[in-house]
Amino acid sequence: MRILLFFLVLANQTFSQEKAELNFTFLFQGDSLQENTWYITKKGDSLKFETIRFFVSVPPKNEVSADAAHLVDWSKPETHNWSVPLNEKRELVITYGLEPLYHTASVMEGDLDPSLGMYWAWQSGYIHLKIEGESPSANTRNNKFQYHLGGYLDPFSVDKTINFGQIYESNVQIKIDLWDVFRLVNVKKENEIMIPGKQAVRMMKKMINGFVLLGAY
Amino acid sequence: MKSLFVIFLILSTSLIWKNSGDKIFSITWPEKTYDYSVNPRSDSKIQLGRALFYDPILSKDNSISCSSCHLQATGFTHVDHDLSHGIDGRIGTRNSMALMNLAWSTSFMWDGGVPALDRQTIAPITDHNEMDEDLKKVLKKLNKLPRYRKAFLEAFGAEEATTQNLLFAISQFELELISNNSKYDKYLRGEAQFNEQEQNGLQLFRNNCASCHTEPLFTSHKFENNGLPLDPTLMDYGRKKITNLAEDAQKFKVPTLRNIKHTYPYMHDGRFSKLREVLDHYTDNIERSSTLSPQLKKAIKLSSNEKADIIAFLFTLTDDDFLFNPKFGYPREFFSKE
Ligand code: HEC
Ligand code: HEC
Repeated sequence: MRILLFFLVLANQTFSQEKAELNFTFLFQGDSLQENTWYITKKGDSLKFETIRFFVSVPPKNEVSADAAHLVDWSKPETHNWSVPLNEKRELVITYGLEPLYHTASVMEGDLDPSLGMYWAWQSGYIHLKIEGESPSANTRNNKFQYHLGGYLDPFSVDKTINFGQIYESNVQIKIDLWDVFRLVNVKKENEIMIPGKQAVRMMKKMINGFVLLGAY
Repeated sequence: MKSLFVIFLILSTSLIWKNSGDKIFSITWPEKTYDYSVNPRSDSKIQLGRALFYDPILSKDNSISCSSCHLQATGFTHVDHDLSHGIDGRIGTRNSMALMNLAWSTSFMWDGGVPALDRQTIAPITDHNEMDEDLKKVLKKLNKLPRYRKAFLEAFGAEEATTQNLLFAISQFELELISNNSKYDKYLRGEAQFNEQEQNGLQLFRNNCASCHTEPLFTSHKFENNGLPLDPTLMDYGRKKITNLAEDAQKFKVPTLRNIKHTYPYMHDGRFSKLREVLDHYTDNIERSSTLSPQLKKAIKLSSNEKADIIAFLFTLTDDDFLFNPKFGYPREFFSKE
């Protein structure tokens, strides 16, 4: 009995070590991304960033738990680190965005609180990725560009779950280089996406290219 | 063998559906779909939810509450206008919905855009055309009031109101809004008789309407196009807005018909104010678009008398125990404290 208990404790301990500490850094062409600064994209658009927020989460099995989702906010450095459990095979599996169950379950605590400005009330569902700012290329009111990318219903769901494979170091860096995020984006043509649909799916595919896991270090 | 089976089917259905005043026990209520395991039922939550439902504190200028658009005496919808009105008299884009038997619903709103009851309340609190209030500000206002601090403590073991607990409390009240004691229900239970007209109406209803307005909830919970021409001033394509699929154009959630006598005006945009107009629509004015539901492709034929019979039957769906249940009314006591 005592031996069993010992093993249980041991197993529990090793399990608790099997976590990855994710760290998110925001860059532009490799340099730290600054507020109130103009940047020029590959397509030639001048941009100034105001908001960059997105969800990362662990894909739910049957149940949703609020700890399994995390909202990363460029303007809040304390959100740039997040500790994620690895799966049974020691693999790091995370979702950029939130899988459908997060949108339909009744868990609305923590970062899943709909009052945090990442929720569409009128048609319901979380916004997975929100990027806003200013650009003379955007022919809109006050030259604002706004990408609110979301949607959880097939075939227009934009969440992207990635298995990064086995991880042996606990510190994992994910860099978000806005140069790469906007590499394929033409701000003159597409500067406001506020609803789920084809356009949002296409934009998410383009932007997610800028999210790169640097690997364990 | 096959034909024998068919004969058996016809026989057995006709036995069940033929209602010569005999008791009919064949219609059973399905299981509730609401998952109480995440939000266990409790009286203190129900009472808190009821207070919140009647409290204009949920709107920006403290002028309207849920009950402004969802009045008990009219089946928890409002009847004076077709499109719902919010604060500053702003007009919404849809007719308010009757609230009842929500514990059985599988989606919410005319287009089913909200997948869970617990998430529905967010929409009226934050929708610009409705209550126009930010959830955080609502929580702040609630947390300043001792009566709510006390009520949240009792209901959830924590004084501080959170988004989650606010939504859970309102759901708990809404889940209590069960209408199952109309004359129709009593008839099924053998406690009341239908007159000839009502019986004939029930028969006609089952033949023409029940495939969508399915007993006993009077909705299949599905999305259907019932042939209403598009209103060019609203351009409301219903379900398509949610799914972005062309095949869902002009489909709306089949609404319940319980208490229908009192829940006018009818349809998602409140275009009809009388049941007679609704029946005339089904017989004469079905628009044959590509997404029209198959059941309506073949014209429904009803004489003027038959329409009157269906309406007489629909009136048996009025449930006074529901419409006048004091447990669902304004919680005077809660608000008179302090
Ligand atoms: C300004 C009028 C208005 C107010 C205030 C309002 N509602 Fe509604 N309600 C509506 C309308 C209109 C709809 C249908 C909306 C749609 O389909 O887009 C609706 C739909 C609903 C539904 C969905 C019912 C179903 O069967 O799908 C529920 C539940 C509901 N409201 C609850 C509430 C609650 C709770 C509040 C208060 C927090 C509230 N409403 C405040 C007008 C209002
Ligand atoms: C193909 C499915 C279908 C059939 C068959 C059908 N309905 Fe409907 N009914 C609907 C839908 C969907 C709506 C809501 C449409 C909208 O608002 O756009 C509706 C709305 C209504 C309403 C208005 C309810 C409200 O709260 O606004 C009434 C009354 C009604 N139907 C009665 C009938 C009657 C009576 C029949 C039979 C003669 C019938 N329906 C047959 C699908 C159907």
